[in-house]
Amino acid sequence: MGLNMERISDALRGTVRIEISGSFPESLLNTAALSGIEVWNIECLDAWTVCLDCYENRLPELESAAMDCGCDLKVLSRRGGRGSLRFARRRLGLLIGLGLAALLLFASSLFIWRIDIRGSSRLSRGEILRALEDSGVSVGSFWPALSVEQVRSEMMQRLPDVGWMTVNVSGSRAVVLIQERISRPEIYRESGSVDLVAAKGGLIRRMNILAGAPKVSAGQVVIPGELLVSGQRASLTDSGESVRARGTVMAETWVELNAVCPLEEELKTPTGFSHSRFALIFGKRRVNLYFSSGKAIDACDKIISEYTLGMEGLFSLPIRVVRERIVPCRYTVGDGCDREAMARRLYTGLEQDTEGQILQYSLTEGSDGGLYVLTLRAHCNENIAAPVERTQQDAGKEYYDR
Amino acid sequence: MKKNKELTWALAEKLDLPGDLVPGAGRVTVSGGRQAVIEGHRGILDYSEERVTVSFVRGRLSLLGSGLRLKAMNGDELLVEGEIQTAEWG
Repeated sequence: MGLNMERISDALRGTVRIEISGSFPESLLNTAALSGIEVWNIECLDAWTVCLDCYENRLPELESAAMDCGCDLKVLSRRGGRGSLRFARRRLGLLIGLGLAALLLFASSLFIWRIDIRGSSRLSRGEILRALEDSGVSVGSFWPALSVEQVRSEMMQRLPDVGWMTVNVSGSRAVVLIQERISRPEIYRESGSVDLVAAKGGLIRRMNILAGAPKVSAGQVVIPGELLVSGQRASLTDSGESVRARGTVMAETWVELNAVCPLEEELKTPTGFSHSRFALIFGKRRVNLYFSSGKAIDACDKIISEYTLGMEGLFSLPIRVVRERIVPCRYTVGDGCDREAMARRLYTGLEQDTEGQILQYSLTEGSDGGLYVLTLRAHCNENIAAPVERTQQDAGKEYYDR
Repeated sequence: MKKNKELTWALAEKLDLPGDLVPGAGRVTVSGGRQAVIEGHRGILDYSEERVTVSFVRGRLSLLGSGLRLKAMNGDELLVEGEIQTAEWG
């Protein structure tokens, strides 16, 4: 920074490179030092010639000192100072243009031209942008007039899922930081009456009951919805005691899952001859740099990329370049079934649905009415007990609708 | 005049003062054999790429070396750069 300031100072004051020749050029250096004339970059060319730099405004004094010392002084080059002023006078239009550009850049930096959203997972970008626009933050907003507190309070009213938010503006770029509200966890109540019913049908192998009265026993076959453990426990008093039935009921189950897919479907294949077209967006106004925008491009894939002009972290210009890459496609009829993917998804579904072990499974292929059918049959050993809140109407019930 | 200077030096020695506090005393700082800052000089007597001789109130200093260059100069200070091999006081 110091070096740059020195350079700016030198450029404003103006410096000259001079050549001094004489029988004793050192005498001129001494005279200059005694007169307080600053000299630097003193280069000895030979015993009688020396080159040096000095400020342009001290040149007349140095010239007169050179005459007194019997030296010849020759100006080799000039930098900055009056020379720059002459340069500027000759290129006044360019300088005015540069000044205007700087002024426009400064004015443009007072408006928001780009909005980045961070920290949202449940809320979509569109929802947040709409709410921000209603709260006064949009592309083209004058950001010095924004009140972050007001925007925050309005946003939290409009979007109940927002727990906290703030807007940071740097160089025409607004960064919206969002902290989403954490949903309240489900409260587990110790009291109340809960029954355990069969989530799936199967053959009971083992029961481990922690609370409640068992209604079935090992070796018994149950159907889905059948009461396994009752939350109504017999008491020493006349009225029965209500508890939350807890425990595991391990049973052998047989599961069948199906996946279907049309044997013939339209497949899209890119023809390989893609082309791009461009548009400019000034603030909110779009200018297409192409004709025939109404032309149907149904048989094409359109990939849109948007670029904001500016320098990251410094400034953004109110101009965005839009590139639309259009890839023409051809439709063909073919077999669109990915059998491996279907089998993988069936097995993943079975794993997610089974609260225990998969003992064995098999896959069967078939077709039905133009559809490809993949069937997965599995034999599992799993916990089939599922808790169900029991109401007064459920009293004495042995089967629940599953 | 010369007597006064002698007296100043004698007094400084008696009082155990550092030499650079004596008015008119020169000071030379050589850094890494590549740069020398000379303060309190009274002018250049000789300047070439192999030798720079500087005058002081009491004597003269010759810096010997190769590629010697006067980087900057003002009424009190001198900055010499280059391969400084020897400094002779006389």
